[in-house]
Amino acid sequence: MRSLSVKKIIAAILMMGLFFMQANAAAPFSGYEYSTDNYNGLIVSKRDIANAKPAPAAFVFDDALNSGRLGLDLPLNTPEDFACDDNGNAYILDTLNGRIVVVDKSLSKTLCIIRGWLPGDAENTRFTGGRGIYQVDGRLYVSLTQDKKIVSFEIPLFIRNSSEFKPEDGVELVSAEHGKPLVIDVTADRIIESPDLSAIRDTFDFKPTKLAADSAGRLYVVVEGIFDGLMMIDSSNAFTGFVGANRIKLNAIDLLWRRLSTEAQIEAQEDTVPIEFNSLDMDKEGFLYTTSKGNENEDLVRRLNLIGNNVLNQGTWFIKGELSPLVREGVPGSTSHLIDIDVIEGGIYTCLDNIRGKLFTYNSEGDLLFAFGGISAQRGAFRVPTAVEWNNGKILVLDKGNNEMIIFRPTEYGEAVIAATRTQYTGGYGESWDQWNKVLALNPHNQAANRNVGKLQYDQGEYHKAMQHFRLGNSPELYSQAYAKYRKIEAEKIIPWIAGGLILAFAALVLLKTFGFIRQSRDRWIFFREEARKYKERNSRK
Amino acid sequence: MKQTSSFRSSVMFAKVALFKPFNGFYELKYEGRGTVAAGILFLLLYYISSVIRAMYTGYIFNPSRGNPVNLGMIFLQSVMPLVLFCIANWCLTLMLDGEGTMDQIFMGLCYAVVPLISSNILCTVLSNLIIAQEGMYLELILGLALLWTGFLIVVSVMQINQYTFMKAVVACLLSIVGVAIILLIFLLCFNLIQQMFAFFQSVYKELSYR
Repeated sequence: MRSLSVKKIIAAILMMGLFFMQANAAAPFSGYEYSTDNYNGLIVSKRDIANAKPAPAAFVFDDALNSGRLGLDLPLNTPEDFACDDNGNAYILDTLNGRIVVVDKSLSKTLCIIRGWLPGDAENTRFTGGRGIYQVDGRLYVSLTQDKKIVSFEIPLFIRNSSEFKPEDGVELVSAEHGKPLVIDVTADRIIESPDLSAIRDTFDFKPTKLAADSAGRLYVVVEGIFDGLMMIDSSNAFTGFVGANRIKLNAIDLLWRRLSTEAQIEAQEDTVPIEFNSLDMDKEGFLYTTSKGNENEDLVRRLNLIGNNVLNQGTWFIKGELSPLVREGVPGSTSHLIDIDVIEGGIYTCLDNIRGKLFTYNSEGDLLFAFGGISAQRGAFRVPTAVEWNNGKILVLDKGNNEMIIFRPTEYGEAVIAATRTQYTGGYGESWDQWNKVLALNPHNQAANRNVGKLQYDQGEYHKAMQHFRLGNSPELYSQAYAKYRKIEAEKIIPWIAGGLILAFAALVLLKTFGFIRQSRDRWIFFREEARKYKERNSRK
Repeated sequence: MKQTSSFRSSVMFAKVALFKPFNGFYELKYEGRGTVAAGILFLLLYYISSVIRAMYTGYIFNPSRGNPVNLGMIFLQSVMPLVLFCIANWCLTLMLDGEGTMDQIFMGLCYAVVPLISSNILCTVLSNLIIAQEGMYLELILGLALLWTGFLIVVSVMQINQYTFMKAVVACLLSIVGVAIILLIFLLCFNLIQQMFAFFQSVYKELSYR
């Protein structure tokens, strides 16, 4: 029942049209989502039914911060990662220049530049070759991949307070020229060197890339060349184990082959195992969200609990980034390559696909809320996107190809979706009624909105309306529940009529029978009377 | 003596074939109570009922309802297997000293799919009335109809070729293998012809460039 290739080609042409279509000058891409309403069989979906449907843009291009805008003499050079603090300041890890550029929370100017992690002119205390930066509780963690260590320091007070520079402990002013950004050195109070893994591994090269930390100072690190999962390092800098390792799925045939193969053959098969984590983030509840390189059959996004099990809610669609590859299925590159993830309050998380330059935002139930972005030379599109963060309701993307940071601001639609999702996550869906209805008014195809409005109507007893919304929300299960109630009510309406009809029919039957009996009796009586008369007549004639 | 009955009575004969298959298929063979036209009618009805099922099954059991229905695909899934089975079975019973002719085997098969027609229609109607938890009734109906049809096919093969019951079962299983072989040969030929076509095309291209 899969689609024919002709259909796919037509679909591809339609999709091309969709992608080249310009909504307005501000958005160099069109927003879309997956919906039940447009079927062309291109998507590999759980139910194989729906497709990308144009949706109102949820986020539009707001600003691009390049070196000139930031007032940097030395331009950014291949920044690999950035972090945002709770006030909205952004910390760009300028990898090849070995510094951290602190962008003010207004997202328009440089607040200061952190030159190194120990005061002094020594080259080896710069952030050169760093690949990951993470902020938690006013503390920055920077993984220096090239130097094989992780350094951590408190964010200086004047940055946190967005005030003028005042001398404070651990911060040393390097230069403060008028009209140029302040340059400072900080003192790293926690330096994590390569942990001792000699017990489990002969050779080990500690090359930390992306990392996350909790408020207790425990670190979760993606290490290059390590496939056992995320490395856990406790607050005393000791290695405590791996988390989130890939479970090898062996089926019966694999086991049979293993039984039949020689040891040398098994040895040669070992390299089929690993999964490589790309990036991670931690939510407020302590769950780790990871992205990994994977093929079509693996989970690209995981939500790991403390013991490393994937507890991510799968929604109606796969959480795999792009579901409608423009190239045909099975061709390399058709799967999204998710390289960064950022999770915010309300269980909302955004993944960055660096092949297509697209951002996919999901809610805690695993529904795609919106997708946007693209790779091109236009303003607001990317060249080599490398990291994504939310910042005060805006989405920031770091582009290491163009050496700039691109800012997206939410549209009315995007704001409505985010607000409704958050309200529902925190306060149940009762309060989100108006918000979801607003989303539906802006985009009648939004599946999450349809489902949630349907649930509310279900609670209010409007089962028929709920059914329609559940159908638009692509949920046969919920539709079935609403239909069960609706059917009961309808049946209760119809059953009296049926019962009444039956009773009437029965009564009519009884009446007919009775009349028939009466007529028969009368006829019989007339007949006997007649016979009796004839008999008498005959007798009297005699 | 064998004579062909009218179209109308041959359609009505389905009742006998369905409920008294042993007598029914005997009469089909020796008393000429079935017609090929009636068989084609049943096959057509089966196809139409399959299309209706694909188009009008309730949303709960067919979330892709509303998709364009691929008529060719449904034909390949419903009618084509029966036609292939018919051919394979004829080839096989020729070798296994069966007494059936092609038209008898075809008629037998067509009368045997009548339960599937009614189950398709019944399931389509029911699926619009029931909820997900009651889905097993649909499966039950479809399963029973399939069993019935399977039984009828075996009985028709048995009576038409004058086999014992076990031999008919074996013949049916071997026919399925035959279908697989036919498909294999078909795909092989298709592939070869495609390649041959491509070859001639390239020869033509080369010549036209000169």
